[in-house]
Amino acid sequence: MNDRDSLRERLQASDPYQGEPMPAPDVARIKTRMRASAGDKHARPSWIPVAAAAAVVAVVALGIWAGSRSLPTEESLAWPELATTEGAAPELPSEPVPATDLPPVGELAQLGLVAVQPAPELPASAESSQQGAAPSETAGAADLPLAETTLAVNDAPPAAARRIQFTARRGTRIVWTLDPDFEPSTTRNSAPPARQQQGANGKW
Amino acid sequence: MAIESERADRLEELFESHHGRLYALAVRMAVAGDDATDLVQETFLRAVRSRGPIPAGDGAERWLVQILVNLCRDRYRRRKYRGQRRAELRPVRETRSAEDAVVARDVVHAALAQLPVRRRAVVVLRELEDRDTANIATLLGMSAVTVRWHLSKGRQQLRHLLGGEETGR
Repeated sequence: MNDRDSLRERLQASDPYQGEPMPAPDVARIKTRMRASAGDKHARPSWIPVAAAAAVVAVVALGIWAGSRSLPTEESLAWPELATTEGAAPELPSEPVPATDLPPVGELAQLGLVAVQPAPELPASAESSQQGAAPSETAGAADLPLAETTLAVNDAPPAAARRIQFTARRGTRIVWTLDPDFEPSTTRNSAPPARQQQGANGKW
Repeated sequence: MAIESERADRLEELFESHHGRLYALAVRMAVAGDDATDLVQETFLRAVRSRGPIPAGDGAERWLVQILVNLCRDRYRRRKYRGQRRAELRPVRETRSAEDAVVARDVVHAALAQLPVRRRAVVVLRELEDRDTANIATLLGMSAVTVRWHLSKGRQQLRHLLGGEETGR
């Protein structure tokens, strides 16, 4: 008897399987589970979990996108607080001030609030610019006499300041205040529009 | 829906005709901590979940045996039985009583568990189920040369593990 036969004999003598059948309860359990598993395949097609997962991902992505794109409301944005910081331009009234609300220059002069001086003769270019548009606070106002400035303001009521604001990534809020008296000819000498940033946490 | 119903009926037929043979193979292939019944159950559940066509004739047995062997491989890799079982082996040269027979069976079982899964399957099918090489090659989806190589290596390992008559080369 060679080694191969002896090994086979030994393995067969000590075969772990002794010919016992599978227990009947186990057979019944496996059959039940097979039917249940086949029933699951009928009840739930394979694309449903995939579609559900895709829908969840889409909803989450949409929520993140909407959260990053949402603009702060006027109530939530404390504009006066923003406007008074770092010397930014104060908010102008939303409606133009009527000319009748302003006291006449003569009364102001009698009260000593203004000093009326005779207006010097202006060059032709200055006169044309006065008729065209209201002078801005930053350009040419210091050169003009006070009376002339007051009259110019009366003639052209200030427009409401326009603000452009949006929220960038990470909640950084960017607000631009547009100069209502902006003129293309004064861009070189005038100050840039007030730009303010405020983080989402309220810190500057 | 009718196709799925036919498939379920076919799988039930396969279970009725093959579960006994697969159970025997599972008992021989199982290692400590594995339940042969669980192996058979998982084999048929994998067959139910599979999307491919159910082979007909002898192909069905081959299909189920390969599922069972792959399942054993998965568990073997996951639990790393090889290192856990080595310490439990002890040689038993002869059996004198029922108790010794049980011990000898455990030792043989533990020695089989030391083999890699495919080699174990080859040895079990050849030595314990008396299948020829061509049949084993068909069942396991490997060439006859590979079957003979696994058989030779498996015998060497078993001799070494069971008695040390011949050390593995």
